[in-house]
Amino acid sequence: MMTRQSQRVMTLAGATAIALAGLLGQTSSASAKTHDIHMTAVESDIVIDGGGEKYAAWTFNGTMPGPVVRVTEGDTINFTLTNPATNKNPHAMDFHAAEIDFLKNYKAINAGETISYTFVAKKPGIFFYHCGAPPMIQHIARGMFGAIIVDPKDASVWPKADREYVLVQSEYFKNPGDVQAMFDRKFDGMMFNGGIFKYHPFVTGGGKLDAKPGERVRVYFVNAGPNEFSSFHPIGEIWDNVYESGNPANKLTGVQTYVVGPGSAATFDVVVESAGAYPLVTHSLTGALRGAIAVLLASPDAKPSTNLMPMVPWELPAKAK
Amino acid sequence: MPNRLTIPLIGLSLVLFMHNAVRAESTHERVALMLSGPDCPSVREGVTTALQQQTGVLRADQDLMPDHVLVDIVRPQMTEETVAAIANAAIGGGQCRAEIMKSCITAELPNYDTDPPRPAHRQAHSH
Repeated sequence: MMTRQSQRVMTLAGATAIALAGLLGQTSSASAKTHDIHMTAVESDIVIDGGGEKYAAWTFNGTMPGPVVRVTEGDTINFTLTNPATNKNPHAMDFHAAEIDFLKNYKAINAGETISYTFVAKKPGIFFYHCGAPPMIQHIARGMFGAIIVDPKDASVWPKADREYVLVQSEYFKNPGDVQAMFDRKFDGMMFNGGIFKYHPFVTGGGKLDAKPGERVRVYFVNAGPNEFSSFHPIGEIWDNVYESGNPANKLTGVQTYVVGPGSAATFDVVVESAGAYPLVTHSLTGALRGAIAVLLASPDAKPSTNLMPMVPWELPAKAK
Repeated sequence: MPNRLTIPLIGLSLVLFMHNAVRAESTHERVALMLSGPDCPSVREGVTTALQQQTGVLRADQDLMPDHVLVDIVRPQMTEETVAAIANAAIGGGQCRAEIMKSCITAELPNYDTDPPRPAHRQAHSH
């Protein structure tokens, strides 16, 4: 039987719980941030291999891929795209993380124009962004793409990563003006983060991705295409978890290879157990052996990595002789 | 005077032609040299130094990959076979061996001819 004293305590506890819940709700919506993201369409040359080969790219902010945008689920993005008057082509921006009207927001703007729109990143994950100006196949092939990470509001929904990288796969066409070759899928190379064998230390100018044994390495993977599927596999390892579209709710466990189609993305976790080299490749070998190999090197003395996309842009050392 | 200019112009053209011909033929390549054996840590520095002194070697790196020396070479002045030979000469007689690293992520494209089509009778299965 409940005494008057205990009834009073229960009432007080209930009221406190309701007040706290309300407060938490307020905190949650109040903690959502607003980000002003401004990008500029830049038509410029980009180094795409370790020999210093340059490519007449079209980019966001001068790099291929464009900058990684990182927000938290529920955040608002005020986005502005500028197409400078010095450019020669129309450009546009399509964020796969947005749920907004395509006609109004994703239209192409001419050189000298600016477009702005706002969206709320409602779903967590890793999403593709790209130019949608016609011919879209060419605008993507020439480098107008990138990644946006929408972190889950509740970080405890998945294991904490010790180290994170963003890898964007895309096809390389030697002649950037040959749109027919793009339609015919006659690609000449396959790139990770805008470079052929960029993270392959056995290739001239190539680097690597670092990790320490035992670390959970999280790879946010985007396939920019424009056409080819990626069959993403860690040589010498097994993906501990794969999250389709990078959403923690879409969790797979113990995956050897996972297919990411053009315009799609997934998040891959791997825990490398011992020191050594673990090449991350598309097991579609026509792509891997033409550039899509990134060697993850696990070493006890690996330095901390703060850059989600190392070697973007690809700056080559001056030749010694 | 055309006659006075002709010989220097021909000479200049010849020099430019030869320079371009040499440039067109030379290619850069990275050779991955794997060092295996218990004595390798003590000889790796010497191997790297020996390679760096060679004509046709742009750079030799012993830090990028464990147990490897990565050598940037210019062909045809240097070849991967010569790189391995120089490395093994620098190692001397200890318990260490330098080998060209080849694996499933070797990036080079094959330069052998494709297999000729087999005659139809050889392809037929007998039951």
